[in-house]
Amino acid sequence: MKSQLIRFSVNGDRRSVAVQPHWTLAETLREQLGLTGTKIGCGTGDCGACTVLLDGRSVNSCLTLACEVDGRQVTTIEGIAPSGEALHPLQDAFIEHGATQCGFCTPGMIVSSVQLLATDPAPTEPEIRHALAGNLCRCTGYTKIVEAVEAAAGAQGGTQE
Amino acid sequence: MRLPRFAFHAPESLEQLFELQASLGEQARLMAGGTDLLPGLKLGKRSCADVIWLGRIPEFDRLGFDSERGLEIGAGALLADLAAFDAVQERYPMLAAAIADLATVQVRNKATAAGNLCNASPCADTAPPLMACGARVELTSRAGTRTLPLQELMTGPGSTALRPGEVLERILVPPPAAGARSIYFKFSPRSRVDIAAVNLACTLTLADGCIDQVRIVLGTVAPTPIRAERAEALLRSARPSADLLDAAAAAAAEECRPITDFRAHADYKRHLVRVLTRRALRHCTEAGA
Repeated sequence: MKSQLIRFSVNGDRRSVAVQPHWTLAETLREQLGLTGTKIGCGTGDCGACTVLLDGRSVNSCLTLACEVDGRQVTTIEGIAPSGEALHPLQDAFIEHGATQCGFCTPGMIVSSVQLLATDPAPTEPEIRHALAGNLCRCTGYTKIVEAVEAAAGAQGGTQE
Repeated sequence: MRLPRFAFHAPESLEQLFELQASLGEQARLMAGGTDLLPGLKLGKRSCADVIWLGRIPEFDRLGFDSERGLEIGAGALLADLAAFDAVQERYPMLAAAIADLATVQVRNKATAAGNLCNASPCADTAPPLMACGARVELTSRAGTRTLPLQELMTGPGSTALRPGEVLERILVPPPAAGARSIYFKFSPRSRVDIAAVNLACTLTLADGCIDQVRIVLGTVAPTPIRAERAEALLRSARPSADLLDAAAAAAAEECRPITDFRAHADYKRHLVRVLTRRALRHCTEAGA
């Protein structure tokens, strides 16, 4: 099959990549652009390890074709921190609360949590669990992950009521 | 898990889409969000040499409400946008509830209602509420547009009434009847994300203390989502009572045709239909519901 040239923004940088039509965004980010923070778990949209923001909304990059993102904006875990110096409050909270065990689900968990707090700055615990239902932690460390998101929401000025 | 090789096409107008469909033939697969098609291709359940992505066709990019014509859902409208749409929250809460429990945030940010329906799974979560609301679908081809009641779109697991060269362009949902009460239930062995073992939508209106219009739609318990017609017939023009609701629930359980799969045994699904139908009817007939 003929490769296609796509141009898109990744974490604010404009990139041009020649891709095969059957390549997913997850494969393209990891193998062509070296952005290996995005993980590939199940490959079928169940585990959420590959979650990225596409035009500001969380999607499974394993279920997104590279060709679909031509002309669009992608944010990966590498682009979540506001600068090279400071971490995002969610990243700080995950560290603070020990919300990582093996770490494989962490990038997806954080990207999904960024999406959640962008739409609902003060989620309740059930709302956090519902919003993260598409992210599986194979270590089953959910309690600390939920606590970290609650803490980050509080630090951003959200309250639980 | 890698995708098999295929060619990718992204038409930018309906005209370009119809040209591609004509030149590539029936083997080409239409892709909206891709959340069913791509896992199917990866798992080898489907194959195709050409994928036609519908994401760049501006005609599909519609989502609107009009108090006379009702809700208009373009083929490209994302489930997340549909569930968050003010008119859906206010007037079709059963549809918003069904979408809130469909898959995951990530999937709802890519998937469309049109794709959910054209995938024609018996357990499609948007089908029961849309059918209960009396939705119709517009199927467009070069030859023009025809409109079908939604229940005629799905003809069996994975098969639809779409003809070669046709595309589902819009879903049209009439405005809800004044005073209509409705509810959606989904039962699955897991609380989240999972596909339904049984899903059910019920809507009815009361007039002078009797049931006037009523629609009960059962998902996952037949080759396509079905209306519980015998249960509806028992209820129509009747005064709600515990005995009546029991009889209607028993009729619904009798007329469904579930199969045993890894989610639940057929007998259990039939039992769920009876319990959920009675619960839905009680909700919709109780004063102040």
